[in-house]
Amino acid sequence: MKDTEFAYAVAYIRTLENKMLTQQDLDALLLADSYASALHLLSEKGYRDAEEKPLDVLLKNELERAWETAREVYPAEAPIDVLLYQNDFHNLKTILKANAANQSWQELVLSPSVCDPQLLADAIREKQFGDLPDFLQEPAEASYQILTEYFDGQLMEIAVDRFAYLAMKQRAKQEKNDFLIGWVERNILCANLEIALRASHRTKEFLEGALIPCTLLDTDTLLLSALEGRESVISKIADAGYPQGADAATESLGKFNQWCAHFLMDYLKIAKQSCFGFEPILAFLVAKQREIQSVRIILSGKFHEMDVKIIKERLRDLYV
Amino acid sequence: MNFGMVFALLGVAFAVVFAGMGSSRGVGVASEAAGAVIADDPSKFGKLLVLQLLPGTQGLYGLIVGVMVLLNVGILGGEPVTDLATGLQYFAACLPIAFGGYFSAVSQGRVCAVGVNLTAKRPEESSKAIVSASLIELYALLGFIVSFLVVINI
Repeated sequence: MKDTEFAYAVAYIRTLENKMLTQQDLDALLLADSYASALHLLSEKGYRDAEEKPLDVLLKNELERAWETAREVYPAEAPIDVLLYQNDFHNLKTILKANAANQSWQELVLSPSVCDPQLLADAIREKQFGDLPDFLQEPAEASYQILTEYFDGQLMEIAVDRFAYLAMKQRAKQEKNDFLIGWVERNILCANLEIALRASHRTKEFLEGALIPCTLLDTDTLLLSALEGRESVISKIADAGYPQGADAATESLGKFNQWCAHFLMDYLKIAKQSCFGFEPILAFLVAKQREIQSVRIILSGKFHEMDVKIIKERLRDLYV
Repeated sequence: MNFGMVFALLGVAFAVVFAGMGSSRGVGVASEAAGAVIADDPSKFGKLLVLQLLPGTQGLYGLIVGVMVLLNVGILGGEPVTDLATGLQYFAACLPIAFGGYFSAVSQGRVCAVGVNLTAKRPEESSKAIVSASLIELYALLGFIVSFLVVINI
């Protein structure tokens, strides 16, 4: 597909970016007198019915609206659905666990997703994994077996996370889009580093099953560092060319997650310089997701009357 | 068969077809991008119109050179071309605007689409987008001038 085929979509996305929340808008939300006035500000910034709908519904609708727009303006074959894979795999975990515990899953699934959660639930219940989209068939069957054989929810979650990244990686490779491949690899790097930082008391077998092959940092050497301990992982992060990531990891895991968000956002900002191709829409959709996360953090904080400083610490960089 | 006339008319076809093809591609890309911005904010139509039109000039240059040749070779006027050498001269005269026009129009279309993006983000900077796109116009003009000068001096 020629990049000029995206000319309409990219220009449209640029107009939408003008309507996204800026850092100043977030600051204004943070400094709002109350939860109600924060909602009022949000409705002035284009969040439809912000003052009428419950927060969860409002933010869910806003994200769905962004996806609807993306699907309207982009050619059908544009690989934007790769961004939804994580929602699908989250839904897979949720439905498997809800089934095992005999609970309802409807309130817990994420939207939008590539595969309808009901279809996923039906396939799992009837063990008809062939009914699912290709990228979900093997992961759904394998994780179902893990859960029913070992009754270990955590093991199942690790397996599903690994399948999610591998599916994203495979899709990015199929598309032969360097930007998308780079985005997926950076996500995998962050996931691997987090696993290694958390895995001080884990066995080699566990780490081998959890770490995902990554071109940015060799998983074998990361595995050895993880077995040596947290300090070794931190020095590995610094040696790999991410000294700020190492500093953040030294401070706390929360700070490290913040650095990961910053690292990923820095990469996405390359798309600001693209006027053709798939990059700007990928950046827009991730940025919209980040914006909605930030709004959720601020409004939840406001609702619970948390201190502004604490709320601010939890916020991540915005794209705009 | 009069090969001189064949080559002269082939030159006309090259000038009109290639320059026109480039312009239609360029205007197409620029207009596609502009359409998206106008769909969201129709008030930007005026600012974007120049960017949409700029890649269209190459098609006009090709047409002018083509008509000039037709006026000289006995189709719309002038003496019919009877020898191969003269026909080849007309053919060669058309090549600068044919190829210069095609490639500059396609590139200009991309630059105009980038300019549309710039205008969408920062409407107050639209003049910079027009200046950037105009830089490519120079090379289309060079091709046009050479083709024009050669045609009128054959």
